[in-house]
Amino acid sequence: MKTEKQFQLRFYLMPEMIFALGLLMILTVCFFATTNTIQRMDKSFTDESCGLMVVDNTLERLEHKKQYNVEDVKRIFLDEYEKSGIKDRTKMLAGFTPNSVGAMLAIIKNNGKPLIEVQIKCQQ
Amino acid sequence: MSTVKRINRFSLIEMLAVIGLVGILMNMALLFYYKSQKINSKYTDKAVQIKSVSVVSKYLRSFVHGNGETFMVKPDKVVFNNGSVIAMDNNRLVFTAGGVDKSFALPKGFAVTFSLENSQGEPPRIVMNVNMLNSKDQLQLNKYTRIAACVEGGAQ
Repeated sequence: MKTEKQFQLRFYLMPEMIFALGLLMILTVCFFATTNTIQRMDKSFTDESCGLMVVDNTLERLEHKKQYNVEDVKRIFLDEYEKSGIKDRTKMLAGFTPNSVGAMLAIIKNNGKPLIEVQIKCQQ
Repeated sequence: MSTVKRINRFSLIEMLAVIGLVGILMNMALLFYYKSQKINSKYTDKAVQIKSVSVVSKYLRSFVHGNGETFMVKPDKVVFNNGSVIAMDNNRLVFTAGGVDKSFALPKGFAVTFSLENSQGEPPRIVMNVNMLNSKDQLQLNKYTRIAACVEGGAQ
């Protein structure tokens, strides 16, 4: 019958310690990587929201103008782009392309793809 | 019957190492918790702000179109000739028309400012900037969303 208490000192081997520290490091790196990704996603959403507002504000201004031509559309669109502040804090660009029916407005993302494209019918 | 009693003694250095390690781990856990809470709170507010901008922009435009020319435009208040008012009141954006108030609660950490802009050949427009606030509740002038609403009946 065992009545005595046995105290045992447990030693950890070097590989065990290295494994534990490695795991801790992986968890830490994962945490900060996730944080970083969330921050980038948030910035992207905020920028896209501002980009959409540039086109929205342009359309609002054009809607209240009695008549407009391609030059007016270009001036208003670039004015809104300038005043929205996205020029300074993002790499998104304003794309303006006159065509046979009027003009195409676009906000171009960092990867070169358009965030939004709007065709405006107007006089040349 | 033999009695085996092995008591393991730790050296001072081992004890200090364990205490130090526990301290570091606790601090890291606290840091992770704090950072997670901060990020969670920040992005919840941001999401609400993006949603608020889309809702408020529609309401602001219909309100401005429906109330005609402005009498006064201040950074925190817009008064129309017919007595209607748009104002900020304790982080709430209040639209008053005909004695009836409608208010939108802005997310914490955001504030709005108003301005009047004029361009040649266009009606005047009220511009509402939804600005982010910093930790000292000051406007971050480079972080804003701009909403323009043209005043109907304004001289072109």
